[in-house]
Amino acid sequence: MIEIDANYVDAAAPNAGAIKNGRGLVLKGKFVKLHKTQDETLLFGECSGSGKSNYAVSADFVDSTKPVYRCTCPSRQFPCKHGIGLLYAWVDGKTFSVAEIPDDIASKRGKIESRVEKKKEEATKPRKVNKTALKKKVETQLKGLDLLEKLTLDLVRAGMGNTSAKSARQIEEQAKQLGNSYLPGAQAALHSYTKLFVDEEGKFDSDVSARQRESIYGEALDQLTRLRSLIRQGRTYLSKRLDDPELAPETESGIAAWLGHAWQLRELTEAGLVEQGAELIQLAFNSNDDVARREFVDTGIWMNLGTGRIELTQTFRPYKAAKYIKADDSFFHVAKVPELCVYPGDVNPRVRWDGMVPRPIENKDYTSVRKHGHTDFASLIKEVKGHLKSPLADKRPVYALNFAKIAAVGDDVIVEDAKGERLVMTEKGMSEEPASCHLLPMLPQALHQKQTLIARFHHDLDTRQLRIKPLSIVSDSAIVRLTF
Amino acid sequence: MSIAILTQVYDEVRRLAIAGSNLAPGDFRLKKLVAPLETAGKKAPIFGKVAESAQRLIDSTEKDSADALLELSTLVSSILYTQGETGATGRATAIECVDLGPPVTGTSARVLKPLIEALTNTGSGRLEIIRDAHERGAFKDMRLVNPTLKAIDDPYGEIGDLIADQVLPQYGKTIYPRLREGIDISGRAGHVRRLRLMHRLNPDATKELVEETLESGSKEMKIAALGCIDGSPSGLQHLLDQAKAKAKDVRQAALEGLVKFTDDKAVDALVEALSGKDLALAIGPVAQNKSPKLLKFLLDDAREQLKTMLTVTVKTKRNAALNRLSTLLGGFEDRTDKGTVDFLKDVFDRREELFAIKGGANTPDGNGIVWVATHLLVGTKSKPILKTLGESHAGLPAEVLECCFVAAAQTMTPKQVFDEFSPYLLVKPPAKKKRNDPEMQRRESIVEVVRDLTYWNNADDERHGHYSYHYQLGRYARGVARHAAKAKLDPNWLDAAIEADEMGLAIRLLRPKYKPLHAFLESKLQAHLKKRDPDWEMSEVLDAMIKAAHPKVVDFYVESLEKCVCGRKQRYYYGYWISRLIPSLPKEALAPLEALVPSINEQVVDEIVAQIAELKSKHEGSKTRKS
Repeated sequence: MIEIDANYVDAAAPNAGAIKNGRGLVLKGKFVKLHKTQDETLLFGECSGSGKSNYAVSADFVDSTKPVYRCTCPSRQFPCKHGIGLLYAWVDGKTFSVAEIPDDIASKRGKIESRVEKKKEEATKPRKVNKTALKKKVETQLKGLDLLEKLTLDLVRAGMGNTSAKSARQIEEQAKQLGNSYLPGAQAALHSYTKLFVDEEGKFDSDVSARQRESIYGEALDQLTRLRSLIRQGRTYLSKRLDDPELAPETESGIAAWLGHAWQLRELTEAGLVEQGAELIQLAFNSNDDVARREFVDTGIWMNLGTGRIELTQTFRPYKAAKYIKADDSFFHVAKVPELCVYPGDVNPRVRWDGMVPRPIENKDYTSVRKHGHTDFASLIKEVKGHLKSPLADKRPVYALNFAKIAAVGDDVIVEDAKGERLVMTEKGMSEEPASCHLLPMLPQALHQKQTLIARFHHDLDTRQLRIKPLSIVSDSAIVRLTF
Repeated sequence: MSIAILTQVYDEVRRLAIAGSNLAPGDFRLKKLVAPLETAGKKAPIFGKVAESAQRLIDSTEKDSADALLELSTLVSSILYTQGETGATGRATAIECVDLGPPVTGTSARVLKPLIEALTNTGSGRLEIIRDAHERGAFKDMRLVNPTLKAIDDPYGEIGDLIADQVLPQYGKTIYPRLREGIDISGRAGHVRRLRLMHRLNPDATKELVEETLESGSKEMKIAALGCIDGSPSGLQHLLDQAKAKAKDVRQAALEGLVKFTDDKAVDALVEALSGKDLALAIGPVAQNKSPKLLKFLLDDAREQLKTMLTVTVKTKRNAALNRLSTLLGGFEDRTDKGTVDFLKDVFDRREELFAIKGGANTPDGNGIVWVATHLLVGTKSKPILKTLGESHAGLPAEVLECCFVAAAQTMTPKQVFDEFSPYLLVKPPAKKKRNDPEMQRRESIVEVVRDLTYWNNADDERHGHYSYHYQLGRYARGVARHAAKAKLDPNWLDAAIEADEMGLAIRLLRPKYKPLHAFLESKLQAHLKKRDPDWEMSEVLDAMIKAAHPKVVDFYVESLEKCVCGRKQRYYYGYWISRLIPSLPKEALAPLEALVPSINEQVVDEIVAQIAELKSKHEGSKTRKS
């Protein structure tokens, strides 16, 4: 039994259009039948549409962590506007008469139950590997890495100064083969290099200015270095898999993901990367247009209240399918996750869950976040530097810092710990989120002292400075978000 | 650890990576670094590794130089990543905070996104989104500061103005540095808004920029800068300099800036402008200037022109005097001194002589002069003058009659005003309309002035400013009715409006639950319903019926809506206007409207459904329900 209000329905909708249209259906009186089961775990009805027969729509809350929306309409959005409309009708207090669960839904529920059972059974069964297919795939991937190496070395031989928008486009054309070689991650890594030489919108129409080029060479060299490491580590990893097809994907490092392995929840479970009964609180959220990957990436930055680790949720919406994938949104509750799957990674691993129940944030949750913050900046800086030196490490990790004060030193804005150790804030080199430093003078003075700062680190290779960007400030009663 | 040598190696690697690794074999600059690296390597083995890697690159061939370069780059970068500088030395000072109240950052990304798109993109429909967000207080979310700052340059002027005048000021001085760094004194539109806003937020800090702009800014920026000048002597000098500028707009802005100065230099500049080609530009500022010397000049000149008009028989000379006097009269606006009152009264007293003077194609006539003088006399608020004007309405032209009405409204009782002036309204229109029929013009002027008075009686309407424009004298005057904003109207005016069949006036005077009005509106609506196609007046009648609490308003409304949106496509336009009244309807309208929805055409139903939803939320509200 969960409480449903208009906010819940808004959050369930895949986009703003579905909200408007769903509400419109209720107001237009398009729902010709509205029913619920005795135990109120199923809402169902019929909605008239443009066709001859009505659409049969339902919202099934038998598992409150994973509500299931069904509809006979041809929409590819889930839930569709009819599902959203059904929930609005419920929230608006329309009369839902008690009725027996329809046979088809009962059988679907039965199927789900048996699927869950089957899943559990399968989880315990050893997995059969099609060795021939796997061998063929790995061989193709190795050939793909050879191509990547050739492209990378050609780029280095020719020099970054000779990379133009035109040549970047040619490289991207050639890199398409990497996608065919089951190496989408490697392809994206190469795009991360080429995108530096094209305009902000990722178009190849004009070259970037000479001044701008000078500022990107540091980043470009870092990307090339990263590609070399990816090729070397990837080759070692794939060779091992070629020798032993039974070998599970690497979980100690993120190399599998770098090569483009799409982790299944089951694989993560099998690898033991699961945490039971986790509670997470969102500290920041951003929706970024990743030109290199040609997709929108919605990233939630969360703190695991149990472990204090900062973890990320990521929803990838490729441009071509963006319309059909629900955009993620900011989350202002605590997510109670029965089974939290954690991807291989180091500082801020990616997490996923199959179902969760929201609960309101309490003051103890803020206290918990603050408790997990780093109080000694010197040791944290050492940890960050140690992490950054690995070529394939996340170069912009996020940490929680318990600071004594935020202040100005000359033109710089700094954050200082109780021992006087300082970190300088900047926007430079961190374009994931919009600018945030300029918001600090708009905060009440109290938030500049003895609070917890959620910050992204970045080392600028050209200036050789390790800087941070403020994302949020956590006080004992609120999370003040500086980005979105 | 000697970081300097490593950074040198990194710089060389970067250089070679830009130029191409083909140039790396045997590179002499890199060669120079190997020996110091080897020396350092004796103390710290990592330098030895770097030296080896560098040597491998130097010894490489064109074929393997790329891999060698990347190997060296990987090694050096990894070390440099552990050597990043972090701190900042110097005294830490508290950041000066602007109190914007408790921070509001709880808006979800899904809500922020459309607003940010409206602020940063181009296209239609954005103004509405931004204005709505401003009215909802959405801009209190400080994360919107940056996109809002960008929107000050919006190519659609209304958005830029809304942002600069209403939205950005709420962030206070904290945005000042951001405005300062983005301003270009040779720019236009957005930069003009920036300068004005900067001056508004921090006049002292903007002084220098204002002076710089006056020296070398663009024309638009100079005009904005002139508006930022304070009352200091240096400010006056700038205004005097710019009062002689080539560009007319700049001269006008400079003359407007002289309003607050009454010393001789400023007055001389204004007198010079009045005497030359800038008469029309200077007259507004002159009206607001308090200098007695300037007033004397104005009075002397106006008397001279009046005398010329009434005595000279040469048409060109008389017309020149007419033109000049009509402009000079603008300089007496809002003046109440004895000299002004005496002069204007003199003009009014000589009205019969003036009525006889005809104007030319581009010249006002004597009627216009009397009208402006009467208008200004009403503005003097002098009780004896108002009494005289109120009692002198007989036989006057329509515009002057309006002024007399307003004067009477301030000196007579509402009943007396009604008795004196309602006969003008109740004149029966002739069977055959005549052009420029003075009787009908007077009737129309009474309709207008009574209607204007109802606007001024209502504070909300006054906020929107009801102005009447009079171009014949080269400038516009605000509706004379404003002078009697507090005057009460006799209730009989409503009956008179109904009797005269003046629906617009009856709507302005409406009283809820007044049966004769209900009957009047009902007959009007019935007439509309009988017509084949509705027209825009239908929505006005329905609006009035809602406000008048007509007992059958719901039935009439639903019938009208049905006529407009359930039938022929050509009527949908009117349906749109009628549907906007839905949120004002009583609660009882919900059920019949919802019942009507299924029969409404698909093309218009969404708009109407949204209005019904608003009516519903007004009477109900959000609920939480358990499932």
